[in-house]
Amino acid sequence: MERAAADGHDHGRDGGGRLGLAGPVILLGLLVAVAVAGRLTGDALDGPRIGAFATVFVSIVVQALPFLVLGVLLSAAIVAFVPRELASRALPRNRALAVPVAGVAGMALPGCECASVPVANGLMRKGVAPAAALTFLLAAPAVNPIVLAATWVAFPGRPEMTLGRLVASLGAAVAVGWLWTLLGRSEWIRLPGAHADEDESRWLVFRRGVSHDFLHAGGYLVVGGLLSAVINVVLPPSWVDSLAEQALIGVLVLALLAIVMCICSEADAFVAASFTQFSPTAQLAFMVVGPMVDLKLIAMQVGTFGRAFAVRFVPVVLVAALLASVLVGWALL
Amino acid sequence: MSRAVQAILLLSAAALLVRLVVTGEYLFYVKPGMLPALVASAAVLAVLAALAGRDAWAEAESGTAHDDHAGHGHGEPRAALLLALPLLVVLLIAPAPLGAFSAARSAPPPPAPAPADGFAPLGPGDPVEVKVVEFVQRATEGGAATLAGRRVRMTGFSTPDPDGGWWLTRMVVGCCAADASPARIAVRGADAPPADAWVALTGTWVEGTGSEDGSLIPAVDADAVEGIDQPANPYQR
Repeated sequence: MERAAADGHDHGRDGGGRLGLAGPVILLGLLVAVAVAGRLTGDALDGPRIGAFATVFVSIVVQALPFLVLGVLLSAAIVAFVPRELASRALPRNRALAVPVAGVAGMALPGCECASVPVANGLMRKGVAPAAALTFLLAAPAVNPIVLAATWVAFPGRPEMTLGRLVASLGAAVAVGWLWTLLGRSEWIRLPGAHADEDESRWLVFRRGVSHDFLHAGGYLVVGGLLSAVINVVLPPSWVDSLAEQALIGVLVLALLAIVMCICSEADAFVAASFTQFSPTAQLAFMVVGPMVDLKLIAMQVGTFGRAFAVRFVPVVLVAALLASVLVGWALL
Repeated sequence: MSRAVQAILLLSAAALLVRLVVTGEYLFYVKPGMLPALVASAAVLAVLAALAGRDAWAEAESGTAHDDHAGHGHGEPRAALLLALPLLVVLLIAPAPLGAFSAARSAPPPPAPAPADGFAPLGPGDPVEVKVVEFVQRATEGGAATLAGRRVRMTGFSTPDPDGGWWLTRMVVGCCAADASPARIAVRGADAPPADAWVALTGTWVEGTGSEDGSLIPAVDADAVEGIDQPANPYQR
């Protein structure tokens, strides 16, 4: 139904405003009908598995929404109000140098990964080199002060975990940034965005940008939350324990868990600490991979930067994060 | 995607947050400290929805239906329609905190380590109110002496012990319900309530259970088990 309405809007422009409103009216009617039907059916959808699925799904979305809203506000503000010269002058002209600077600058954005995708998008649209913006995207959720403080608290008496997280995350982010400087092509990145006409007021650019970025990333956030919630209630609970023994497999298992669990970077240290049956290196991998690669992030990156970007970027980031974790784990832990 | 659809999607995201805040159900999903952030986000989304709705109205009135992405590349992806889904889920499936089903599927959290200056004695009162998660911490992390001989009252829900008997359980949440894990106390001397039933347990710690026997699940000799209403915040920590 939505497809028909949207297609009508895209192609059958002669239908004019009336056709354009048919879809929304049906959508609104459906929402109201479901609200009424939900009251009538009562407990029909009330199995414990369905209930747990619903709670996990909604909790991922609700936890992420404020950070997403903050991220799209920042992103739209960068696009609308920051002068083009300022954004590019803030970073060193030398690209190889701009990458680590962008990584360290990530320490200033106290949010989780949902905020960093739209902000990186805004930076690129403002002319910041993609390699630097992508390094920022990877580093910001992993090394900001709130996340490091949470890690400090989650591993009491083990400051090497916090240090290891900082070093491994920054290392992986900068490595990916440098790799992008060498091999990256800008045509892989699709930069969608409300088009900023010169004659539109900055305020209009800002508020259209917020709506646009929110709808873009929000839909994909829901996709990631859905996948994660399904896995949460379907996966047999004991499979993890049996794999914890072997060192390398343990690293891969916790990295995989980080990808499917989609936990906010501000909380993942507590979850990592709960995997006591795993090696410290595996716990580190959980905290380094999670903020850089997880289902909701992958979905949001597909939505924001395009599929051609995501199929190249995600595997590279995953390998870099795993290598950084193993190296730092071997040296420090 | 027309402005009207955009307005509805923004509105459904705002409505989800408003509903959860107004009913207090947000505590089934996130920590209490998120309340201001949820309210602020709901306000931003509601304003965006209203502005998009005004645009849609103006376009319908003037009959222009101006397509803001014609010639500008991409519009919003169809995936944005999924933003209505969380609201639908909350409307269709009665919101409930995670219970026995999830408790049986995840490992217990490691107890928070002992405070640096040791455990303070439990407060006054007989019985004294203690959180399940704190009781487990004291019993397993070297604070057992503070429990010996004290009658305690704790609230949680019932989950079956696969080896017989039952546990008083409370889900422990680090950030949101997606990372919840169960803190458990084995209850002795009382019949098992149905799984997921909320109860207040009054009883005394069984000495040696928790750390010394290696189980990490301390046991309590029950004096009384009474049914209670589900608390507003079902999670701890």
